[in-house]
Formats: sequence, C-alpha cells, structure tokens
Amino acid sequence: MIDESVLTRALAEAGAVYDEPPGGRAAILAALESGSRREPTPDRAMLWRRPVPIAVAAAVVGLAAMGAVYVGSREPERTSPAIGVVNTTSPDLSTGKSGGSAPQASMPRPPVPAPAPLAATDGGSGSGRASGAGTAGGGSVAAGAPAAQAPPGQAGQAGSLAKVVKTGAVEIAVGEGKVAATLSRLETLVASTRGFVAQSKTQEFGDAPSGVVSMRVPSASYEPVLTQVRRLGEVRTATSNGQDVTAEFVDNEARLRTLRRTLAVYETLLARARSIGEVLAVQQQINGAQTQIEQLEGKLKVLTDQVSYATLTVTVVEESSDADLAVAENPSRLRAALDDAKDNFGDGLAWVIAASGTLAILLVCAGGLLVLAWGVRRAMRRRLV
Amino acid sequence: MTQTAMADMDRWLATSYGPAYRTACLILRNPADAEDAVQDAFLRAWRFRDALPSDEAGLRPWLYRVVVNACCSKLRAESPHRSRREDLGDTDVADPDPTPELLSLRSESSRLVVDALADLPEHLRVAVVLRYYAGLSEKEIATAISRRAGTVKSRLHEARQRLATDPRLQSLQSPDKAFDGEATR
Repeated sequence: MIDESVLTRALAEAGAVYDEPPGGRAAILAALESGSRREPTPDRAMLWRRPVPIAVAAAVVGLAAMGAVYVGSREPERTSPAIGVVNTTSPDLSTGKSGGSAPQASMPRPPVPAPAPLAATDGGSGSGRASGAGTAGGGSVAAGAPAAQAPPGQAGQAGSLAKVVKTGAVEIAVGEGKVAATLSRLETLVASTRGFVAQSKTQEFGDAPSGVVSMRVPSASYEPVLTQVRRLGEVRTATSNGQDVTAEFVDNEARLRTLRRTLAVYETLLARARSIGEVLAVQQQINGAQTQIEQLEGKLKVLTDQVSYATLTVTVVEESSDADLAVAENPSRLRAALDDAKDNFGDGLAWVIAASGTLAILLVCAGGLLVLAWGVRRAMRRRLV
Repeated sequence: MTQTAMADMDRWLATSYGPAYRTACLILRNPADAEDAVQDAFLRAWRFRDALPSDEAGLRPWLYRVVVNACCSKLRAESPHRSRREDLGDTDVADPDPTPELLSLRSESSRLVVDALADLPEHLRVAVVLRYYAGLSEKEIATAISRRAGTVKSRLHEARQRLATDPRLQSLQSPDKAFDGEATR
C-alpha cells in the first residue's frame, strides 16, 4: 500500500502545477455584484433525497396556483406589470389627439440593482457604482433611469448607472392629404433632438396613403418626442417598452476585464516560450481570447447604442372616410359568427376554470364532512358497545 | 450587496479560492472545468451564506462539499466524452490542446500522479484528493461527501491499494526516486 506521506507530497506537487486562474476571484465578485450570474444548477440527487419537502412544496404551489386561477377568473380586470420589462399599449381610437393617459407617465420605474463599490481585486474599475442607482420607488422611466437621460456620448460609461433600452410605437391618423406634411414634421422633430431617422417608408398613392418612420432619438428626449408625436394626429395605438439591461451590461464588462487580464498573462507566457510548439499553443490561446474580447466589445457597443438612443416607430395614416368606417362597422355575417365563437370560447373556458376552483373547494369540504361523519359514527358505535 | 459583505467574500476567496480550485483541478483534470465548478460552488455557497457554519472548522468541509458536488455535476455532464476517450484507449495520451499554463509548468512526476488519479473511480478520487491534498480529516470528508466516516476510511484504503499497484507511481514509492525537495503547495 502506498505510503500516506508519499501520497500527500505527490498530490501537493501535482496540485501546485495548477496556477490560480487570473481573474477567477474577480469574476466571482463581479458575478455576485451584478447578480446576473445564472443560478447554479440544483443538485438533482440532493433534491430527490427529500421527497417529503418537495411534495409539500408542490402541494403548496399547486394550491396557490389553483387559488390564483380562481381569483383571476373572478377578477379578470386586475393586471400586474412584469418586473424589469415594462410594456404599455393603449389602443386609443376614441380619445382624440391627446390620447388619454400617456403611457410614459404611467410607466413604472424599472428595477435597478443596488450594486456596491467593487473590491480592490476587481481592478478598481467598478468603483463608484452606487451613485444614483440605489433609489427606489415609482416614477417614470426618465426619472428612474439616469443613464438614459445622459448625453449619448456618456451613456455607455462603465456600468455606473442603470441601463434601460426604450422602444415604442405609435400609430396616428391625420387628415386627408396631410401624411406627407406630417412625415416632414416628424423628420424636423427628430433633427431638433439630435436624433436621426433610421428607416422611412412612404406610400403616397392610392386610396390610403401612409408612412412609417423609425426614429432614433436620445433616450433623454424620448418622452418629450413621444408627447409631441401624439399631438400630430389622432392616436390609434401607442406602445412603450423599457427593458433594463444593467445586469447584462455589467456582466459583459466584467467578462471583458477578465479576458483582458487573461490576454496579458498569455502575452507574458508567449515571451517566455522556448519552442515552436509552445509559441503556437500560446498564440492559439491569444487568438481565442482576442476573438472573445472583440465579440464582447461589439456587444457592449450595441448595448450602449440601444441605451443611448431610444427607438420610436411612428405610423402615419389618413383618417378613414365615413364609407370606410361604415364597412368596418358592418362586417360579414361569417366574420361576426367567428367573432362570437371566439368570445364564447373564452367565456366558456373562463367559466370552466372558475368552476374548477369552486368544485375543488366543494370536494375538500365534502371529504372533510365524510371523515367527520365516519368518525362520529365510529364513536357512537363504540359508545353503544 | 453591501460593501461589508463584499469584503467578507473577498477575504473568504483570498483564503479558500486557491485550495478549492486546485482540489477541483485534481478531481476534474481540466482547469477550465475546475474554474467553472469552483465559481459555481462559491456562488452557491454565497446564496446559502445564512446557513453556513460560522466557525472555520465547520465552514471548510461545507465548502468542499459544495465544490465536490459541483465537480461531480461536471463529471456527470461530461461522462459520454470521458467514456468515449477511455474506449479509445487514449487516456495516457497527452492533452492535444494543452493550455499554456500546463505546457510551461507541468512536470513529469505531477503528470503521472494526475494520470493515476484520473484512473481511479470518481468516489475514490474524491476521497483521496480531499484527504491527501485538501487535508481534510476522515470525519470532515464524511461531512463533505455525505457518507459515514467508515465509508470514507474504506474508500481511502481501497484507493491507496489501487495506487500502490499503479506502475506509474512505482518511482514515487522507491526511496531513491522519491520526490525531490519540498512540496511547493
């Protein structure tokens, strides 16, 4: 049998071969700080060793889901916005030019992680990250996303503030013969905010002239531009979307820093290489690291651009004539029947779901009553005996 | 995360990251996988930091338990590739794409030890590395791998028997060819 001391020394020497990876600790700290690291894969073996807690948890989740479905079927009007992504759509056919409640005013502030200054091991590049990001509470996107309000050139600074990508779409109807003029006003509006028109499509012939303009405006000017766009005509639909990409941004920056440090180590090793084989091997690693660095830099560039400039797509159409409206309000009988069938299907499904909750409660109560009756009967029999 | 918590984590990493990483390397034989596994382990440990033992003696086996679990997950995920390599009989062939670190630092004797370890079954390899590299006691290993101390003892015994018959480690056991110098751990 091999001697323990020999084995200890051999393993100590074998273990010493493996150098601690450069940036390994910093990557962990960065992942912890950003909170964007994926959740570690749960150990399935550990899970299956605990069937009882899992069964209890599954039962609780099932009951909660059933209750949620039951409550949801009773209160279909109640909604809750998703965390992190805000999407408001306001079909606005009847409220005139002002469009009723403006979506940008009701948009809740996207959640902002509360990062702390990074430790010294991270190279110091993450320091000073906490300013302006720790505030909580409601408000508009503009109030909760300082990065979006920064000038375009400064919006991509290293992860110091929240990064929000804003997009929106508005469809407005203008008077007869005013499509071209409205499109021209839109271009002027974009130019006044130092934005630009990314894409434009106009159809000015035929019975229904229309135009679509995809505008890129500085994020800080998004809400004012949206307000002015809504004043150009009758708003038919308006959609606003704000997506918080702070975590992705910080994660990519941390990976980039790590890769740059790794590249520096490889370059040191390249200088020490003695043989052609060693040079080729190190060079291969350097090429791989450089490729990853370029990919990450490209991703960060795209993200920075998306954060700096919001995208607003405006569709301009002519208001329909009375005849068109009459046609739209009198669809064919088959279409009406299909619409009725769709509505009835939804209603029927909602009724079944609602009834299933009631039925479940009734079954539980009936079971309890049966058990109670069985117990009483048994007790009475014992007393009789 | 607060600055204090970050500083705590930094201190913990400073003392425990290196040994945990090298332990994972010896179990997995792949630095990249080991780095992933250790990163997963520390992140998982941090998630459950409220349940961590406060004393160093209790914390150490707990950390190695998480590291070993992460390594075993990696091994299971890559078992098809490993079995295919073993079927081809090329387990002793040098890594076709060695990292520069390994190229510059790996010595022959270390490679023999690592290769011999790699031929051990997973449960024996884990016990040997935890006992003779990480320096855990049999009781701590039992905690780390969720087995009884007696099981650990028998596994270590079996592993040492197997290593003793491994021809690659014969040179280590003969006094005249024993390791020169002190371990560089």
